[in-house]
Amino acid sequence: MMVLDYLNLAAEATPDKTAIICGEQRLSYKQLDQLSEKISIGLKNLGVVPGEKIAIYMDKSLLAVISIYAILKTECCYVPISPDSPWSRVTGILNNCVIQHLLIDDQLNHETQTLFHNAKVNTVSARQLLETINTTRQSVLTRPGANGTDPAAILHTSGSTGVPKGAVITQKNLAVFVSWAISAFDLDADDRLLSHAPLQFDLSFFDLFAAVAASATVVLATPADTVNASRMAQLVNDTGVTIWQSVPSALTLQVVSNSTYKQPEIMPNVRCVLFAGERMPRQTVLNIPTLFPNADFYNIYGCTETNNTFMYQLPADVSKAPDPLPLGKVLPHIQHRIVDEYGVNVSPGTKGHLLVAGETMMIGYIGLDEAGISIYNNSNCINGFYQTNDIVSVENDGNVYFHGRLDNVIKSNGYRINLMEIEDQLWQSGKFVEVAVLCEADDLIGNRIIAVLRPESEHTCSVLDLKIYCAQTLPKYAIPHSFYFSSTVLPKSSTGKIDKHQVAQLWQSAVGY
Amino acid sequence: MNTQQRISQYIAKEFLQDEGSVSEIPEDLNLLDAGIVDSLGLLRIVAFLEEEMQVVIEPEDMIPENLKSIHAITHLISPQSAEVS
Repeated sequence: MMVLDYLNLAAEATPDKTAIICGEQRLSYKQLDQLSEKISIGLKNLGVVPGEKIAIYMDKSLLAVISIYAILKTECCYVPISPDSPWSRVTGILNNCVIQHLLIDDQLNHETQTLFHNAKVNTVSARQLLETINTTRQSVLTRPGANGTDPAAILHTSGSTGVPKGAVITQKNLAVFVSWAISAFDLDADDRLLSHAPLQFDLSFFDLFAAVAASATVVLATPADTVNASRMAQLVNDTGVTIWQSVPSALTLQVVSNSTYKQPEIMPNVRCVLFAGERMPRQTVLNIPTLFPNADFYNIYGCTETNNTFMYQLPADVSKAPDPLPLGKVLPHIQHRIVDEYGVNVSPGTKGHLLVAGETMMIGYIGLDEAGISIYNNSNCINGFYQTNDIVSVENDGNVYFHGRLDNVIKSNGYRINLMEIEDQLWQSGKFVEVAVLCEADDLIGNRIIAVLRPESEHTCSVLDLKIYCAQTLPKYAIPHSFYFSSTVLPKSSTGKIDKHQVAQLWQSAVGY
Repeated sequence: MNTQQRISQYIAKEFLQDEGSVSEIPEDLNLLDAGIVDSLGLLRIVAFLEEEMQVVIEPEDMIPENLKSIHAITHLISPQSAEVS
């Protein structure tokens, strides 16, 4: 069963059941099916052909979810782009995927409209399609011979050269993931799943597709909800959310907010709390049972390229959980290896490089060959195994533990960030003769990003100007938290490269650790 | 120092680690869009306002719209700060 088959089943079996809640709005399965059908017909009328990659440039909303299903019904692949993204990232994605059609809500401001026009992208208002298309055809099951290898979604991660990398997720990838999610958490039609993550985040597959597969209801949290812990708790309680999935920092926000307001916002209906994306702070681990007195807690590990691969269920007494939490045990549909630098499996207790494979793994990154034809590049895979660049070990308790990275990629607030990408942008400002971006562990957000810079002589720098400069060229989550200006040459290693370790010490002594 | 200056000074010190930039922060600069303040940062601002400026921020007022700029924050607390000053 592919994702669309689940929608058809739910629309036939329980047409009046609420599929999506967003603010005051409710959408039934029948409406979701019919409205997505209208947009799909509209797309076909515009000349969209099966296999095309269609971008969605909208904040999370009912219309955005309807649009995702419409794109899948058109046998196309959806490419979510956050309207928050700096323009350089938007164009990177548009070029990468050869986007011809981009679905927007209603109208864009003149400036953005012009930018898309100059990029030769047709912007299509999903709202207008809904208003102008009158016919809906009867739903049909996925066409015979529907291919599991057809791309369904492309999600973009931070790339090593500043160009975002688009992981191509297939119909089969989603189908396998959805059936795992249903059995792992016993999802059924009575469940209400919170959709906390933005649509361009792989966490959203769980809320969007597993909910429909279980004929359950998904509750969309908008950016205005997710930034305010009180509103979140109220949303969860008012709509009867039973399954919470988010990055750890969202739970940390609830915990910290409680200590600010000194009145716990208890969410008693939630039966499962899933967190994924980065290390969970101990303080949050210890405090979440107060917020969710009736829930089980799961730490989930994975990446966009593979989706979830490991899971750890916390014991009933969360204080008995190891610190830091383990990644846990491998999921049933995933194979993994932990290898040394020669590719040989290491023994338990020894650190090694984690490789994973399985049916939820992407077919590759989207790219263009020399003739400008789309190709899938899976050079990150060796013998069918994706190289996570994570250093892990398996310990006596049978769990896999995370120890660090093999590259410059860090996690902050649940986002994967390549420090090289930030260095590139700071170089391009032309103000510095030396640039080093590093991170320091942070209890609440995982990592803080620190930029240590030596300005060109004569140049005076303001942190404010740099923040604003970075905000124009980097995604918000990649803007360094702190800047330090060094008037002296940055320390070098024996090979003449900037020594990040010594730079970190320079920064620490400067801020007085 | 008036209310707006105190808020500017707090943001320059806490979020930019640069008290020299107090006078430079435009009062209508969107602090969230510029990557200066995130959602946990909003909570720190609320804690500052409540502890240092003796105002009460209701949970429902804690939305980005009310806290997104120095101007917005000043406006949010102006009915209360007028009483105490």
